[in-house]
Amino acid sequence: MNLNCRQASELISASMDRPLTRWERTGLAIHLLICSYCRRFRKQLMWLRRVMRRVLQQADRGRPQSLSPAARNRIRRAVGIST
Amino acid sequence: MATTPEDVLDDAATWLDDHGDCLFRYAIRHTRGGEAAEELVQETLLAALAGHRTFAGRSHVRTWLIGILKHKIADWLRQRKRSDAGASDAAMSEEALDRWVDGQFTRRGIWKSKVGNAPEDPAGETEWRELSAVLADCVEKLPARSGEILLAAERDEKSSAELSKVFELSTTNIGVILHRARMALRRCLELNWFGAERGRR
Repeated sequence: MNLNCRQASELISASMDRPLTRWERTGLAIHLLICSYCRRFRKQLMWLRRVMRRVLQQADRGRPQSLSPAARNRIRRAVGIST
Repeated sequence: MATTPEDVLDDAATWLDDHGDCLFRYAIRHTRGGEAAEELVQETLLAALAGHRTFAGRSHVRTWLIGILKHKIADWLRQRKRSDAGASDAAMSEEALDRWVDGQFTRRGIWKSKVGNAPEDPAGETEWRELSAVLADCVEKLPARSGEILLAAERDEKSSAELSKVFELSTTNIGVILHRARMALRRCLELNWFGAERGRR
């Protein structure tokens, strides 16, 4: 199996979301041995994942952690719970 | 479990008291906004009330409620996908992104332009904030649905199988969309963050 860069980049992306098959893994490993651009592409995607996670987690921390009393009351009324 | 309507409402009050915040935190992580999250908590409790007979204590109440909430979030994402189509001016269409990715490779599938070294992590708080803003802009430029899917993959660490369920697309489709989105995001960051013009390589 001789991959081109496009196919290799697809597998690099896929490997972040699912386990690759044995064939895919082998093909990708061989391509990465001979292609420095794809090696860099892989490193960049891994960097992207790391910084995105950190940035998104930080955004999470800035969010309210609990229902406001007003929201709680609105929900009570909507659901029909007497207050 | 409750048997009379009054008991059921008592249950609902307990659900809200004991699990409301937990549901809210879960919802807000997936919706990027407080109002939508509040509404989803409310819808979850209403659905729980309507369906309390099916609960039958087979799982913990919280697990059961989160399960309902997950469905509500999936509905919400689907709705957004429809109402959002082409909403943002900055966003490109899926077709345009598709063509752009094609243009990155020669006919034989070789990179047309050089791929640079991976950048270093931001050095301090200020740089992280800058990067965070650039990232947000770059995600905005993606087609709305591709952006949502990418965020779900990166933030929630969802596998393509899970994404395929939430977004009702085949895993192959999810793979194609994520590949294109990452290509575009990488390029956007290369131009606006770690490119040569910033003196990083």
